[in-house]
Amino acid sequence: MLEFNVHKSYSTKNRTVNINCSAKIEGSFTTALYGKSGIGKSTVLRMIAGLETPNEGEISFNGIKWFSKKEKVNFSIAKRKVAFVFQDFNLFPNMTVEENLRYASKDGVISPLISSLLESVNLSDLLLNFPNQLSGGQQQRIAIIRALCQEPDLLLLDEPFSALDDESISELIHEIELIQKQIDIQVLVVTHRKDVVLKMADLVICMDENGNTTQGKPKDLLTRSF
Amino acid sequence: MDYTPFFVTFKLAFLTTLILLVIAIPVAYFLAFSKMRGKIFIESILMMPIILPPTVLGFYYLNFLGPETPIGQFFENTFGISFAFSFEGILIGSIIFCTPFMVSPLINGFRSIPKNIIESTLLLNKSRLNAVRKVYLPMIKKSIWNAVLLTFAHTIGEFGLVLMIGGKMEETNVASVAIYDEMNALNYDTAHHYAIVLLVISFVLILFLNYLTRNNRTTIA
Repeated sequence: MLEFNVHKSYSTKNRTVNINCSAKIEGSFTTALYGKSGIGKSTVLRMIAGLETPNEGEISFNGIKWFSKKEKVNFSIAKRKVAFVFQDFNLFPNMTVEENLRYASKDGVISPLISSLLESVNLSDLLLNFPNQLSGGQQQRIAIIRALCQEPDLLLLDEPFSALDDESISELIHEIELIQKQIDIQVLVVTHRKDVVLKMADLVICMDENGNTTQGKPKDLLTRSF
Repeated sequence: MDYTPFFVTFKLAFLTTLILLVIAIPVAYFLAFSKMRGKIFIESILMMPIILPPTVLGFYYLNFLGPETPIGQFFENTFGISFAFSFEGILIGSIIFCTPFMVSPLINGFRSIPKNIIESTLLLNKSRLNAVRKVYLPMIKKSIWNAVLLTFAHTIGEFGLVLMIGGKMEETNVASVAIYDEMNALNYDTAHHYAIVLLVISFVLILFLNYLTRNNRTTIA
């Protein structure tokens, strides 16, 4: 179970951003963090991963506190055991697909599980290719599989579909579901697209401009306007 | 024609480039990524030789490390090393003078690495040293070549600083100074031979530099 209640504010040249988000995700396979662009969805995901520190709040996973301002707890990225996939520039361009996977794997050995994931998403033939020789969708699929090499407990996806066309998005969603079936991992995906939420999530956390978060079934919530 | 000036020149250029490369990589990494206040002052000091006349640098160098100074005398008496009018002297001077030509391309290279790549190494639990060695340095290969070639080429062309720090000794007689000396002695043929060799070498180095910059196959895949 992932539970968080985080607050962060920061100023840019043009505005001050206040991010508030709280949620309790229990028994959900795939959860979408949904809201307009610039509302702070990615920052929430980054705070969960440990890439950014909240100003206030708490984050816990399966009963273990990863972050608590009050109790002065702040687990390192390594201790949190999360996999994180960005919207772009995930793969190391100086390495082939195989080298990327070996670099991410413990002891530099690609596990049988990762090999079978590659086969199930039809990417085994691309091991010797460099990232710039792959399509956007292939790059994202490899990035997701590479992120799983560390045997994480939670997979965080930050707008993984933003650079893809509709066909590639459907393929990637299908393949994420295939991967989930094989390794039974909880996924939290950030997106601003309703169709993506409706296609892949069984729970949605909606963030609005007033700092409110609403949690529920995608079909129930996304008929409202946010 | 005496080939000793070329030997001294290339020995100086090779050692300057090698030593600076080793020093500049951690310095450039620090300057590219550190959030320390006052970093701009460190960067400005390191970049000063770009606009500073070599004679100014040579003057202060001799004022701090010359044979009459306490530091110069200490090293001379204790270790038998002279920082002026010796090869070691022109090597140190050359390292100081060429620092911006090595550091600047490396800083730009490190800064060109996308933030997501840097954070990906953190998320994969890689140490900074491991990330630098396996990911960042291979990614900025082109910047490293730029830095190496610029430093090497610039050292070959040094004149004022070497003349001030090295004086007129055989071990400090680089090709650019030899041309000046031969001209003064009215040995135009010898000066021409030295000059044409330096001209060709400089052209080849710049050609190679431009080739690296323009050829897409040398960029990171």
